[in-house]
Amino acid sequence: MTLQTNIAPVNLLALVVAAMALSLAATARAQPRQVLVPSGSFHSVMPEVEGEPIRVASFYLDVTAVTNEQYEVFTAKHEQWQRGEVPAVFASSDYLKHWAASGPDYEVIGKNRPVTHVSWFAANAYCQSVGGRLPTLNEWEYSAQLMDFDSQSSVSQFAARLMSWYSSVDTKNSAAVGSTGIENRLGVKDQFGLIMEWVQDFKPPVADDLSLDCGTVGRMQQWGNAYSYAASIRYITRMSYSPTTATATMGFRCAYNMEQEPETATIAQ
Amino acid sequence: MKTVHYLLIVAGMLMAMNVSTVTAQQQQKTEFEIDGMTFGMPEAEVFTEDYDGPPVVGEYLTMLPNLKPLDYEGNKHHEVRIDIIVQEIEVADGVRYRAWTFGGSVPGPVLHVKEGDRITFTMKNRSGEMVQINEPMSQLRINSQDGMGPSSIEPEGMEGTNTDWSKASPYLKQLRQNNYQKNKAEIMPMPHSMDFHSGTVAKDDKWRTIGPGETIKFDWVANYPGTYIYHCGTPSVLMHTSMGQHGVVVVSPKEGYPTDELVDREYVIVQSEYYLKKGADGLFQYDFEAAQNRNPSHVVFNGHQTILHDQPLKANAGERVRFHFSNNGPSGTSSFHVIGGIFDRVWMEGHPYNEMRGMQTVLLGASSSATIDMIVPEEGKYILIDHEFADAEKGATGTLKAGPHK
Amino acid sequence: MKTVSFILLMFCLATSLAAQHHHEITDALNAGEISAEHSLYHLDAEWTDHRGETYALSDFSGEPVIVVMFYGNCTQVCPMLIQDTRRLYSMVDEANRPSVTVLAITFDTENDTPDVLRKYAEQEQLNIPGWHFMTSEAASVRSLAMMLGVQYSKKSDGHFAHSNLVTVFDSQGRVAKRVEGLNQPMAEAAREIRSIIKTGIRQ
Repeated sequence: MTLQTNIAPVNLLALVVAAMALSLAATARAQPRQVLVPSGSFHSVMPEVEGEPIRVASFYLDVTAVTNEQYEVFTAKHEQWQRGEVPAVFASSDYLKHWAASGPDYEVIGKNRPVTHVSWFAANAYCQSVGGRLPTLNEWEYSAQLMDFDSQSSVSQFAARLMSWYSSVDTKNSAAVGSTGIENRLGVKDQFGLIMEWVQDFKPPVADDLSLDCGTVGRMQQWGNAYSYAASIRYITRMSYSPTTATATMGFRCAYNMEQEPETATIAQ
Repeated sequence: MKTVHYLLIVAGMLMAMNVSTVTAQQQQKTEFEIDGMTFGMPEAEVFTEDYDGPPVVGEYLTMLPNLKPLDYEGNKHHEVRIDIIVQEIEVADGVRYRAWTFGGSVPGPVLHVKEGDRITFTMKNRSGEMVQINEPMSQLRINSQDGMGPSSIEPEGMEGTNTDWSKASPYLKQLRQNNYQKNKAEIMPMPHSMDFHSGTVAKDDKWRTIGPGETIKFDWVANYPGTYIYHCGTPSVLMHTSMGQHGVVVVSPKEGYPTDELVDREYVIVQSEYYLKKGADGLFQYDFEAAQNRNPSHVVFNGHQTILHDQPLKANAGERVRFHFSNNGPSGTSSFHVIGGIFDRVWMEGHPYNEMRGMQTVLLGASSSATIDMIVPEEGKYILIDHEFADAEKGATGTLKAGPHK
Repeated sequence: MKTVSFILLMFCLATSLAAQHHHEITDALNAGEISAEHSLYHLDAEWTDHRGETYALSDFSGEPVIVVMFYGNCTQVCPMLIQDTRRLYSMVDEANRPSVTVLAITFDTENDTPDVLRKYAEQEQLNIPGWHFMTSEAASVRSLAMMLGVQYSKKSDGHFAHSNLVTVFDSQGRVAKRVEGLNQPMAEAAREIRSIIKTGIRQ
């Protein structure tokens, strides 16, 4: 059963066909770092026109969030993004706070854990440096909801798990990327349960009005289902940040346009 | 409205360059009086600051059930700081969770002001940093009169650092002396905001949501007397308040209550609900389904299921005890009663004009309060209770222990 | 008031989308808040103008700069926004105008090539010294917008919903004046520019 409560499987068939065709054409790589997310459409928790779900064009997306190790490669190449070098205009004083002044101490923070304490500007610059970009909010959310569930009750269970993550995340004991066991049907991992992620337009249109109102959560509910409740918490939290915010819960992954197919990309296995 | 808003932001930018003049101009421009009350506060400021000092600053901030007496004539301009910090706390025997707090406890500190006072309020969202507030007393140097004045409670090892602990509030000292929620510093970065029900302002300005690391500063005037809840207004409000972000402000009426001279003791009691379930790591966590279905795991007085039994309120027979009672919800009602007592006077919402007499039970909706006088009949034990027994059996009870008549 | 305007905005968005044609005016986004102490010149991206020349933003430091963000296919709002900018520029004394730089930066990095921008400048009769219609990599444009507090998002019909904002920067690249909305009075912004020309910094 697909997640019908929140997501209209508008292009589901087309998507599956496309994915199958592409997977036949692709050479199998053991550990793809990016996957193709084929075009489609979905319903978000944001207000929209009835009968007009949000359309998303095909793009490539990193399978996991950017790790401490990957980010260190970036800061080594781009000194202006090293801790202590970044002007306040691009990141708050918490930027890379968990790294030692001389660089990351992997004993403490782990090579394969997602990099956090990075501002939106830093995330944007990182993705630009690897030939990509931050995913748009709609791309990220579209990929996030491409999940299969057995039943409505498993949707609810999953939503409850998300809610408990949003209300009790333990940032001191973060886990490695790929470790949550949560992945979408294309193999994109940990969009939930590990960190929150920057997106290109994290303050979407009407964010000013939406994020400030007590009734917002209620307005975002669709058919009163638990999944959209968790989603609304995510939307509101994300849009309440400033682009210089660098906290223990915010990391990111990159996206790539179709014409910029990353060398390490493959489509769903 | 939007245009005005942005003009004010530009004014705010100019203010960064020439603070005094612009502020004065703004106040002239925006403030006005109606019936002796002041409205039209200047635009809130949102900024980042390198502040790592005490999370609660202000002489008139105390820990429940204490209320700092107002020792000044006329009105006062208060400088108050209540930072948002994350603390792992105990809310019932064996029940601990990572709480989102104002100042470190649930509920947050009690602010006491007088009708007509002006409050300049500063709040930093420190949800992304570890803020220790629970050093044992032996490690602290404490200099204060009767524990109610501003105290120097610089933690050991902090001497000579830039952190100025001299401005810490009585609240922090009381919390350390009696740390019944057994605080442990924690981190959980989230956007938050502050909504004082005692303030009359535009919420899209003063009650703005700020991200971790940001600070907001704004003024409000206590135009109406009474006991008022404050809480985080960032959606989901249900989640943020259930996670612990609420407290009360007691605004004493300018002319007082008719029985002020007769009152022997004053206590502040806040009722609230927790919606918790046990998580995998043994800590409890927010149960959003229970919250949505109004099915609390605990209904408590002063943030802990048994605190008012473990530490009963004290009085003597024949004394007049005043309760400032607030039901902070987030979603339940309270039918406050004292077993063995009748409320002599009740001022609904704490306004002296709303006087009722001889009440057995005071019914309060979420975010409603009453100021209550009760004469203690005789030596013995009096149970404070939410007479909605489902709530009482989830914890909403406490003890008033009365000594002999003097 | 806020709620009403929000509802109106949603209604406008809804109707414009439903009709599948573009009502740019109703799609205007509010500008976000920014800090006044941030210098634009920290952004080290490379920009290409309608003459095919490349710049770093810091090349324009030392003198007042007016920045406006737009896109070429925008036929209703953006010409007004550009004309607002021209109006501000014209309010500077002719003698001082050579000290003023105007940067009109496109959101539409896919379509607005330097060549397209040149045609746009000519059509608007603004292919004049001191004016640069510029493009860059999409991520750099997004960064600049984030610094300015300009919100924009591409819609499925290829048009952009965006804030209407004219920003004046002082010689150090700090925000001196923001004018939000269309057809706004520009006198204060012009005064600010004159002051920057005199003293280098904002008032």
